[in-house]
Amino acid sequence: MPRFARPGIVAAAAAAIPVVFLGVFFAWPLAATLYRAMFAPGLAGQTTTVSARAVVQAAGTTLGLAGAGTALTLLIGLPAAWALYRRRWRGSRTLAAALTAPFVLPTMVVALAFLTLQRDLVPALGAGHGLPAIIAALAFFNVAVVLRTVGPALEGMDERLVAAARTLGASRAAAARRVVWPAIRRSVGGAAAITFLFSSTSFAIVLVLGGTRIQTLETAAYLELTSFLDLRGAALLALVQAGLVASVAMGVGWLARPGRYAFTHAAPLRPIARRRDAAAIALALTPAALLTLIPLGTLLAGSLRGARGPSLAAYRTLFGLSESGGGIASSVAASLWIAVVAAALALAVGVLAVAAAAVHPGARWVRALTVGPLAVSSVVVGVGLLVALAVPLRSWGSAGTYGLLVAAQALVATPLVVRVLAPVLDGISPLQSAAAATLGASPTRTVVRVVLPRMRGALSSAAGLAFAVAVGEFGASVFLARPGAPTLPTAIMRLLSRPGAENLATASAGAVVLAVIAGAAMMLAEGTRRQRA
Amino acid sequence: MTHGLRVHDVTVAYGGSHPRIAVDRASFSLDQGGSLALVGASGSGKSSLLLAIAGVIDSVGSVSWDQHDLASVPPHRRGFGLVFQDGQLFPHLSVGANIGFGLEMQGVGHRERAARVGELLDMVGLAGAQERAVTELSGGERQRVALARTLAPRPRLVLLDEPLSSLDADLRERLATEVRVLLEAHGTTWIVVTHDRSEAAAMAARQLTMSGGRLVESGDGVQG
Repeated sequence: MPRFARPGIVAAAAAAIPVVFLGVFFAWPLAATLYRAMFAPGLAGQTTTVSARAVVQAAGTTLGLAGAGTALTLLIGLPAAWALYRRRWRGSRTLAAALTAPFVLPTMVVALAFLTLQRDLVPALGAGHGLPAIIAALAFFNVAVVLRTVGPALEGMDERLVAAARTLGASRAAAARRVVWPAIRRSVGGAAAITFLFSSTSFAIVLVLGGTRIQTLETAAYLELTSFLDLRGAALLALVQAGLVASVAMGVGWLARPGRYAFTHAAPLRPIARRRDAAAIALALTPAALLTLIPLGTLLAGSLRGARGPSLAAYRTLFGLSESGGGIASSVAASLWIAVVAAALALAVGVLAVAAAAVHPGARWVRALTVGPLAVSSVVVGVGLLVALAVPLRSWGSAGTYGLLVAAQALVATPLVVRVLAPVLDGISPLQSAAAATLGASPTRTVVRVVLPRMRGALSSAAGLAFAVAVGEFGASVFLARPGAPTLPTAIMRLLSRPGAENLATASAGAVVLAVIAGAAMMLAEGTRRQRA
Repeated sequence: MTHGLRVHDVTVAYGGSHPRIAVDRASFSLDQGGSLALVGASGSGKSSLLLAIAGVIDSVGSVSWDQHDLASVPPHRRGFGLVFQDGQLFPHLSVGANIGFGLEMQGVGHRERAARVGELLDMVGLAGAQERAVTELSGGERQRVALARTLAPRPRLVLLDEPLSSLDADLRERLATEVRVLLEAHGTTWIVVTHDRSEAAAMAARQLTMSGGRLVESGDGVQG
């Protein structure tokens, strides 16, 4: 960033919008939730029905599920990361891209995919109220986290370091233990912690696959609110969830802190796979490939199933073209425009927060504040907005509801926008701005001519990611969407709660449409980024 | 010849269905206690040949020591030490632990290891540097530690891959002589890979030139 004459004033002006937005739609709702949990009565006037024991049990279930999900993710993800990033072979890049793609899929899509898999192919996944299905779905998502986090560490490690150990007498196992493990240890810790964090906030997956029989803090809060109208109980559970996730998030920061030693190399020597490695690579990749491909295939097949063989009936019903009616075309349209507005808002807030921090170090806290919604889970964001703002905004009618949905989706997307933009802006050398200044460019001209052009790719990635996250957002939206005007993910949930194979097929078709929308947004954004890179 | 290294028709190819030949049927011998410089431009295949001899990359043809074929001997059992261009010191281990690594792999006890590490640090002019972090070392110091680490387990053959190319000219000239003296003092056999003919002459008794993956000519270096 160029040096402005009055950096403090410029930073304060840039920080104003993020601070007001996060203050009104995040900090205040969180404070209101805290107040409600501690002092206020429930919606129906009663005190809470939630016992301390139930809260502890729900916390235990949340942690247990997250632990099991993390263990399975590492078990499947680490061998796949080794096969894809430690050895070079034709097609490894394409397969890595395919296996990391599930990360941008909305949770509702993944939940539906595993529900279809359990009903059509592997009934055993439904044992124990769907516990195996939930754990497998958590791994489905998070294998991508392991590949994205551990992959670069493995890829950047120079094979000559291993060769040095080998020529000094280390066996394969000794070299792996003494040289490879120290190089990837921190990235494995980081991946495990992030997986644990995501697993403890996978509301849609637990709700769809386990129903309310598996009570995590999030599903218990949902149950309290929807079944017992106990807003105080829901607030209490949401608060415990926020505390738990915030502690885990701090653990993530500690485990993923930069290492004291740099093992990565600018141009590392990475060996080409030998013929005898082929069997090991295939063995290492098979579980990850099956875990990714089979559920998505089953979901697609489920959406194309008609009463008499394959048909597009579910899609016709989805878009209201069938005679029986019951379409959710309006939800698709509503989801699209709400997500567009939310993504634009998230992008504006993210850009201003990142810019403020870059202009003046005193504004770094604003950038840190934007991570808040990620650090408390989207259910907490939804409950908070409901507690603090639903009543005043209800008088605005549907405009109020849409406003809340936009705010909730923007809050959930903002941390990701900041995560994409901040490293790119930080990576632009200050010498570039200095060069522009010595060539006569004012600070504003420098931003327009030097900084922004370098940021275009990242801005397009951030916009695509923000849209994909917003359109698939479920955890907060389910508390805020009105029954008559659901978003696509909440409409899918409503279809699931109705009996009948036809409703399941329509829900599956909705999930496929949602996956296509989110995937297309990401691909479009990535395509634009590459063109501009 | 009965004692020493024999390389016969060694070929190294990279890539799957459209392989690139990096080393094309290279053959030469080196007597035990002798020294050889492989000289050639960047990409001529000299480093690949060195890595193939060490057994850390795949090759066809045969590499043997004292008439024993090494095809089925993994790199950690060959007794060949390798010094890399940029040292490749283990960043998470101290100078002393780096030098002692090979001895630890041989199961040498702590006390004996410490004595040998101290002796080697004296030899490379870094006495007392056991506890220093390798990330704090200068380029020249790093290469000295790398050489000490390679010599510690007393390898029968030392392979040096452009060991001085990352250093500035003055230091390179001084270290070339120092390294040769050290290797001779250890009574070891060595092959050094370099693109610099004067460095090759300073560091080895004999030279072979590589071009396009083939050994093309041979010559004698300056004896020293």
